[in-house]
Amino acid sequence: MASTKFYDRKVNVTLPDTQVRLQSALELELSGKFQFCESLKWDEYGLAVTIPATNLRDFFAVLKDGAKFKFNMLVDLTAVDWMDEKENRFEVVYQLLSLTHMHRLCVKVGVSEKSLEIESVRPLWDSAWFMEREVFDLFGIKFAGNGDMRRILMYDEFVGHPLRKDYPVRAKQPRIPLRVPELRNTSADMKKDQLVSLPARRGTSAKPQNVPTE
Amino acid sequence: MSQEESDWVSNNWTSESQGDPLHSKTMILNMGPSHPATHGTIRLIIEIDGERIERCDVDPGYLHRGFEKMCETVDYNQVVPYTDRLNYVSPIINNVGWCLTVEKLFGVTVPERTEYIRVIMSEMSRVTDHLTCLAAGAMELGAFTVMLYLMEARECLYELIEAVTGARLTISYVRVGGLRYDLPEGFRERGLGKLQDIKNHLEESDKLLSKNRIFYDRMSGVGVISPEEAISYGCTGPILRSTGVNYDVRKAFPYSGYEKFDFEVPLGTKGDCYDRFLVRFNEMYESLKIIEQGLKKIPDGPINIDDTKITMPPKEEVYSSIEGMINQFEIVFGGIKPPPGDVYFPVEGANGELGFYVVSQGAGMPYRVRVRPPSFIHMGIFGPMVEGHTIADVVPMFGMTNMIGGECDR
Repeated sequence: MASTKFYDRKVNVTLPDTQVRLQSALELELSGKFQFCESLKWDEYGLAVTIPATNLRDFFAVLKDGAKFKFNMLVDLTAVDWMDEKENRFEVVYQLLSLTHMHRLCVKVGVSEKSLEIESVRPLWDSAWFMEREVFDLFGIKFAGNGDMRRILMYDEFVGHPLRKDYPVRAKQPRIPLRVPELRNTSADMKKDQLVSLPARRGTSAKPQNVPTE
Repeated sequence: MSQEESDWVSNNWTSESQGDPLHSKTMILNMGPSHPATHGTIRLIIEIDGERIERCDVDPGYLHRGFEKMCETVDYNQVVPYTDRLNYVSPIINNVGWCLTVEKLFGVTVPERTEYIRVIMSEMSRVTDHLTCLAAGAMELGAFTVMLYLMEARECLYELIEAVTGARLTISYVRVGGLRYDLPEGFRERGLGKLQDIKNHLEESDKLLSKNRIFYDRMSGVGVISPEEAISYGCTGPILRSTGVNYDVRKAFPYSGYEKFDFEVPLGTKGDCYDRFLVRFNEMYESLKIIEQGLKKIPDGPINIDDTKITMPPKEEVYSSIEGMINQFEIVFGGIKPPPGDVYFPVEGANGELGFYVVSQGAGMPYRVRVRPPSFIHMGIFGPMVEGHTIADVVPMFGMTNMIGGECDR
C-alpha cells in the first residue's frame, strides 16, 4: 500500500519512562522463554506484542506475577475479525494495566477459524469471566477453562455471531417459540409451597401446568 | 384430598421432609429485567435461602442495540451520536473519549481552548452522573426529599449544558478535531453563578444524608469488597477507589490537559456502599473545583484544528472558494480517513475507565470499534458481591454500582 495515500501523522510521541522500562524488561526476561510472533512494537499508539496461542497462560502468568511487570488488572479483552487478511482469521486483543508500575501493554493472540478455541485467562483475572463470555457470544471463539460459556448479550436461541464480518448488518433472526418456563427446583418442599408449580400427581412427571405450549 | 393425592403426599413430601423438618430448600427468585429497584434493564436470577442470597446470576443484554456493529457502517464523526446513547447520563465524556481516540489515531492535538471546554463539559457531565446515581440511590432507600434537591442541582447543570450544546441529553457536542460550537456569550459569569447554587444544594443534601441513621445503616458494611477482588474483577472508578486503591485515569494517564488542574482524588477505606456514596459525593466537589478553575483560566483562540482533512471548513469558505467546497464535499461523502493502525485510549468516565479500541484500515469507516464499558465489567463482580446478603441489600448495592443499561449492553 502506498503510504502517501494515508494521512501523515504530525506529532512525534516520546516514550514515557514507565513504558521504556517495560519494553526493556520484556525483551530481557521474556524473549528467551517465549516466542514473539512479531517483535515487540512501539509506535504512537502504545506498546503491543503479538504472541502465538501456544502456552498462552504461562506467558500471562509471568506478566501477572513478574516483579517488573505486575499486570494486576485485565482492563479489556476483545477480538477482531480479519477475514482473509491475516493468517489467523481472528485476533484476540488483551489490554493489561499494572497499578503498581502504572504501565500498559496490549497483547494480541491469533486464533484460526479451524480451532476457534483459545485458553482462558479467567484463572488469572476474574474480569475475564464476563469479557470472554462476550467474545464467545459475539465472535464464537471458545475459551477453554472459563467454565461458563453461555451467551451474555444475545439470547440463547440467537443464530450466528453478530460481530463477525460475514454476519450481515441487517440480518433478520427467526422468531423463537414461546418459552416454557423450566422447573428448576424439583424438590418436594417446593411443590408443597406451590410457589414454583403445582404438585405433580404420582406417576406423572413434574411439569408445570397451565402453561401454553407451542 | 383424594386417595391419589394423599398417596403422593406420603410418597413424596412427608418422607423426604422428615430428615429436614425446617424444609430449608433454596428458592429461585427472578428480579427484573424490568424491576422498579433496578433502574436499568437487567435480570438478576437469585437463589435464596430464606432471606439470604446463596447465588446470583446476572443476565445483561436486554438493551443491546449492536453499537459496535453499527459503528462499522458509518464514518468517524457519525459515531458521535451513537456514543451519546452509551452512558446517557454523562454523554459528553463518551463524546470526548471517542474523539480523543480518533485524534490519537490521526496523531493530532486540539487547540488549548478546546481542551479546556472539553474538560469543563466532561466535569459537568460527571457531576450530573453522580447526582443521578445518588438521587436514585437515596430515593430507593426512602429519602425522597433528597432526590428532589439533587435533581434541582442537576437541573442547574442541564441548563448550562443546554446553553452550550442546544440539547440536554443526546448532545453530540464534540467533533473529531474540535467542537461543534464555541461557548455562548457570558457563559463564564453564568457558570460561576450556577456553581454556587449547586454547592448549596449539595450541602443541604449532605446534611440530610451523610449522617442519617437509616441511610447509614442500610449502606454501611453492605457489599464490602477487598482491593484485591476489585482489581481482579477489573473494577475502576468510584468502586475501585472506595476500596482505597488510588487509580484515576485523569491523574495516572492525564489526557486533554487534566494535568493543568488542581484537584484531589477521594478514596474510601472499607469498600462498602457507604464508601462508594462518600467517594461519589466528594468527587462532585472536586469536579466543581475543576469547572471553576477551567472557567477562570480558559484561554481565547480557535476551537477547531486547522486541518482541512479532519475538520469542516467554515461555511463562508465553502460558499466562496472552490477549495472550501471540495473539502466539505470530501468530508461529507468520504468521511475523515485516519491512517491504518489500532489504538486503545482510556478516559475517566463517571463510572470508571471508559476505553475505546479502534482499528482503522485507512478508510472512511472504522474497521472495528470496541468500547470498554465500565458498567458491564462491574456487573461481573455484582453476582459474587451480593452473595450472603439479604434481598433488601441488593437495592443499595445496585444503586451504588450505578449500572447504566445503555453502556452495559451497548
